[in-house]
Amino acid sequence: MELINRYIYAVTKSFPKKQKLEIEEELKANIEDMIEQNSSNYSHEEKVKKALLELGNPEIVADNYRGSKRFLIGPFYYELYLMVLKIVVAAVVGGISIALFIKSFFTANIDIANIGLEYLTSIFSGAMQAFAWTTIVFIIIERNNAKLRDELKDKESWDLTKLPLLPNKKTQIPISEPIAAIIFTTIFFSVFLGILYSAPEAFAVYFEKAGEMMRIPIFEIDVLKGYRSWFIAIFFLSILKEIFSLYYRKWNLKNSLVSIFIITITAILGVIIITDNSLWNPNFPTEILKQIQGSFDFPGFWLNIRNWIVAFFIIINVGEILSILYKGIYLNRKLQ
Amino acid sequence: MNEENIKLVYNNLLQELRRGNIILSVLSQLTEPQYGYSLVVLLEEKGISIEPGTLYPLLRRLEKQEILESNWDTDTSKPRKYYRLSENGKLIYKDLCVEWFKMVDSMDQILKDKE
Repeated sequence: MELINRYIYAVTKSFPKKQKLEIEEELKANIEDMIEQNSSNYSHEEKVKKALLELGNPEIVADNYRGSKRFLIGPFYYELYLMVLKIVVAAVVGGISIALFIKSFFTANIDIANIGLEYLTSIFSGAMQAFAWTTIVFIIIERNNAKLRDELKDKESWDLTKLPLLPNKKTQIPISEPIAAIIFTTIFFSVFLGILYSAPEAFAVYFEKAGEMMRIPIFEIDVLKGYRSWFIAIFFLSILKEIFSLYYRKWNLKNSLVSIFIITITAILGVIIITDNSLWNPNFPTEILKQIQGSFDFPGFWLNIRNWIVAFFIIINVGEILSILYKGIYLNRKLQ
Repeated sequence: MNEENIKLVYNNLLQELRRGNIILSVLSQLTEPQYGYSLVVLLEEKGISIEPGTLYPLLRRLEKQEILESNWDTDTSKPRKYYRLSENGKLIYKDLCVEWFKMVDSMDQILKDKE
């Protein structure tokens, strides 16, 4: 009896409760019939084994009940997934290498063995993170779109108007664009986070005074570190945006809207971070002023620079949104 | 292609060929109510072998599509789920049979022409 229960459990374990009970009941009755109608002289146990072997691999029986196969990442996205995974992992490894290289400049006594060990462990954990997050993003895409595909199949019939337009050069996205963006974004963020955590003293202006090095930090490192999850969110949203471009390879309406949405969110997050006054070392302008010794209004200039950074950041993002609006919506409408 | 491969491909194709006929052969036996295992035995007797692991889920799916209807017989000591063709199922089965004979005729023609 235990074997039968184990078999039934193996078949039904992943079904929702109601379905599970029904299948259990029916399968049990069928198995008992198979045993009962085996008129050979074998022991009961032998008959049980024979019946279960006849039913075969419970995973396959479960698939038959389900009527469809289940995937974590299905064949539809697998190729794209492998490509993005390779790019992201490679870029993370590259980024961490650069970050540690920069760090070695700020380390007084370089211990090769220690640096080597740190390098290996950072690369290992960085690659694991990249692998995990890329996989999670794709699992979410698969989940949402598998449902969507089924619904489309059921509800809509295909006709000639559903044929995609021949690609127009202006709305096409060359594959090199998203790949370069993924590499650049990944390297930028892994270098930035790498330095933030292993050599935050690098975010500073250095002066040499009477043979001694003076260091004036630009940021309040603890506040900057507090934004860690924000940086990671911006990073993954940016990667997600590029994955959409890799998938569609053109500025169609859907890709355009998703991109604009993501750019808006990341830009807002970015502006909130940059305009946070507690992020910037309040003593930075006065310290600099002491060093340059002049009548030059450095604190005012510094405030201007900070405002210009914000303005520049907003202009770049708005520019990108306008360009996508033009390609994705205006051009597509004109072509139809 | 070595011998083993040829056998493998042959078996796959044979399975494909049989798979297409399973539903029709199951429907043909369900003008009278049958339960899972009795249907396996019945089809086996008529030379159609079908694995129980394929048949039981298939019955459930056909029931969901409302081609079959079922009821649990709890009168005997052992409860059993009996399936039979629904009214819709009977119509569909009839139409499928017409198609089947047409197809057999055409296939016969094609295959015999080549001989």
